[in-house]
Amino acid sequence: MAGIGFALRRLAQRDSFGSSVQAYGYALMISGGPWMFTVAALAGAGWFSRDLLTIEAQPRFSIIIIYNFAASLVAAGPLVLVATRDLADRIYAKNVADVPTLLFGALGTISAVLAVTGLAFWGWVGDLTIGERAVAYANLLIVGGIWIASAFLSATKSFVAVSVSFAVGMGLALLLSGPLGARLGAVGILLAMTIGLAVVLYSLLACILAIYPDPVAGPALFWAGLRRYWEYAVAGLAYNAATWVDKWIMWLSPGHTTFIGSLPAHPAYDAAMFLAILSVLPSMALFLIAIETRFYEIYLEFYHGIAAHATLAQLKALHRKLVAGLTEGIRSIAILQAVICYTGVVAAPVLIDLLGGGLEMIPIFRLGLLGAMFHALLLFALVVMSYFDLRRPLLAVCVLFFVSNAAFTWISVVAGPSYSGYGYFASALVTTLFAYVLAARNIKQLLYVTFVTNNCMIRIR
Amino acid sequence: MNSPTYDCDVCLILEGAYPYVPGGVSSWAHDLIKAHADLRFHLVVLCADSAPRNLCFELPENVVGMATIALQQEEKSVRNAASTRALMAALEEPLQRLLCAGSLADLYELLRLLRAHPATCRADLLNSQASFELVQRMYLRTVPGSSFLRYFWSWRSLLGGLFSLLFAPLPQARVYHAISTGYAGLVLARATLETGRPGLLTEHGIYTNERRIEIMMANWLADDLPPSLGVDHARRDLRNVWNDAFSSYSRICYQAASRIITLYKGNQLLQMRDGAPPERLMIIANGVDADGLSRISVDPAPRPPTVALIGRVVPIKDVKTFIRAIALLRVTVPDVQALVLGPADEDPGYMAECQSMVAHLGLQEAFHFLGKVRLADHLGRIDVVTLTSISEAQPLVLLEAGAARVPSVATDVGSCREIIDGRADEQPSLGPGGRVVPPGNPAETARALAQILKDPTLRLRYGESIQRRVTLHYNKNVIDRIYGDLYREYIQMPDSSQRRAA
Repeated sequence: MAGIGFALRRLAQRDSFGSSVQAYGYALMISGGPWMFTVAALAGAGWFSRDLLTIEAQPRFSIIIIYNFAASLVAAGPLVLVATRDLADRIYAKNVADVPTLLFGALGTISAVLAVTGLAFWGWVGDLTIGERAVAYANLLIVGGIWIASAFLSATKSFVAVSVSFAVGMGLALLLSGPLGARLGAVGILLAMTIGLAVVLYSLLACILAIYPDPVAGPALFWAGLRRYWEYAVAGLAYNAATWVDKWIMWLSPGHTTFIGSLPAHPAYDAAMFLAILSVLPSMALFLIAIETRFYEIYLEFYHGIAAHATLAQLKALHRKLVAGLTEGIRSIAILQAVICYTGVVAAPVLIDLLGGGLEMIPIFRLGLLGAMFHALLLFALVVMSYFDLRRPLLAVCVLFFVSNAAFTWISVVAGPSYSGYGYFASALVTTLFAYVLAARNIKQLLYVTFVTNNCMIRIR
Repeated sequence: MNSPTYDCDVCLILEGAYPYVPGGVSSWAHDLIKAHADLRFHLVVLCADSAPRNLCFELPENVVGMATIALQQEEKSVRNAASTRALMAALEEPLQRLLCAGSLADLYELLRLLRAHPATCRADLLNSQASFELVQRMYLRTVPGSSFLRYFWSWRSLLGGLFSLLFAPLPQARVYHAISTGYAGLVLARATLETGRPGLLTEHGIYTNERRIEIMMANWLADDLPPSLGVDHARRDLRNVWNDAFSSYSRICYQAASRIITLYKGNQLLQMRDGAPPERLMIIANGVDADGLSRISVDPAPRPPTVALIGRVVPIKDVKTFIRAIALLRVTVPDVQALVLGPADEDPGYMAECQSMVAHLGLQEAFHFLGKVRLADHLGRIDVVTLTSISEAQPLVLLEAGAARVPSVATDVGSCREIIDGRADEQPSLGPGGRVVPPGNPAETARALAQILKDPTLRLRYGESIQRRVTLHYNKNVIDRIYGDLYREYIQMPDSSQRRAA
């Protein structure tokens, strides 16, 4: 019977979630990773330059590293989040032929951005020799590449390869810093560190290309991802800028010091905050080793349940299990972080004294620890949001983090030197609360979010 | 009450057919419009989705407008307004009934509720949180043991189509005429409720029956559940959900239509099963150009006895039974020639099987596939037309052959018996115009063919009978007049004020 017909068969094609069940299995933690590395590198640099450099030469070295890390991290923020998201989709879809193209698209983009801004900056800013300018410039480009490469390798869950690369590269930097520092002074140490970082970059790239040996095409593919996942791009930019904006404001505050001619910094605030943020390391380890694995299992069970045609009752049970798993994770991190924070607050005078810091660092360090406690929970919330592809909430949280950190820090500067550190603490507190309200609201409605608003076949905008 | 200005005389409501899809029903609709050049038609065309389509027909001049409704358009927005929550709660009972065993009253209730919430759009009904909660409640009331994912998509498709047509603008017509039930039938029901104008329904194939076959074959709807043990616990699954919904949609259309027309008696039993009120049922067959075809004269040139199957070479026509029958027929009529007139390229695999069967039975000399031809060129040289189909509605080839005095041997499917033997209430009784045989029975088919071929008097009598029947009951001019009279009767009918007030 020809004629009347209703395309029932077409509906069969919808009998799955298709690409909507993605393994959003990349950890936003990797954007915490470089931060940890920055702090460790700065601490290490201070330590191994101590015996080699004069008191005046030491800050020349540190300030270049700080500026390079700040600039490259902010530039890498949007690219890293988009690239890891894009990569996770492709790994899930077993469509990895484009991975090298994506990698070099991202590398090319960040190199272009940093090449232009870096040249403008290191070309004339500050009171530096030609050699120092050249090494500082090279250092900036290499560090930018590292953020991209380590994100790619982390998205493939090759944490061991990442760790070994960093250990080898930094070990080499340490070895070289002796002879080079003795011969060339500050620029020698910087050169040693840059050579070490270059080794890190190239070994990371070698690992990625060994896993994905496909040919490379133009950067258009990566730029398409930037457009498609623009929420992630803006969120990455806002988040990385948020982690620096309190420092920038402090650098411009009355208590700042000017280095190598014209570069401001606030050594007491910077050192106290770098030290405080190290306190989230145990939480990150706990997350990566225990929580993420367990959470990811329940997460997969939930989505597989949907795709495998579970009944509503079964789905609700899986949803409850998921919420219970998340609650458990938050509780573990909160307890661990509270213990560390409390210990740090109590031991602050001793710690600061041991590290040779001044008394003015102690209150800043304590507020930094309190802020870091919330920051750890914030990271957890951000990871969960990215797992469930809650793009808009993620974007809102990151933007709030940036705006509130800038605003509160500025208020603390206006209020006076005794309020240093309150800005970051208040911002971390407010942003974390906001993130949990948003995440809780969406996860409570996870079935609705999954079936309707986030369903790629309905794709609500 | 102000009398409305009418956009057209007849609003023709078509689903998945004219003017975008070729085929029998589409050609019928095209001819219907052309045959009533004095009436202004407006088309409402229902499509599965909003993909761009090409017209397969040149619209006649008396088509004054056309509206296309895409049933399965996806909504990209969501508003979780407080009023939506109240509306979705109120919609639960009528929607639940609409999907299980609905009536016109439920559609009326639905329209009333939507009119009470004029700000509501289709996206609210599909994408809001309240809607998702409604899906869950209806799932738990209907098939709590089935895949929720599949119910979700089923709900979205079945009711998404309904919502599409509820929000689509309709032309103001004097009479609404749906060419099927299903979503077209729901448009008809909505139009009669909203305008108070009468509705007509012509059903060629029975919609619920066709959907039932599709649903049965849709493996993705199967629930992989352990079979239930007791007969008391006959489990309802998603196929029931779909079947019930389409039966329900048909019932609503039957309740809304003033006349329920189909081609032959057999269909009416199915319509009544789906709730069509018997007093509104009516048979109007499809007509052929009886006057033109009757002018075809028998080719006087000497030729061997010739039998033809007119149709596409596809499994539903069961050409293999025809081939076997010819092989048997050759025993009694050794010089018989068999023709297959119709496109052979639709199912190449089946065509190849038929050809190898012809070769295997040694029929190459007697059996010819002629492909698509102009029927009028061949009817004068054919003695008997054969139809071995396992399924038919109202096969026009029997009528066309009959108009040219060619008798038929056809299987007892669709309206073949009505055409060959005449309806039980035929006045005056015209006698048989051929033979009716069981489907898939080459021996019976061969026996019937042999009788007719070997008895020229019988053949002539059959030919005379069938020609008179076609001229009287299946004459396109007569059929067109019947539709014309129906249209005029309902166009002149005053508004149903009770309905308009609704």
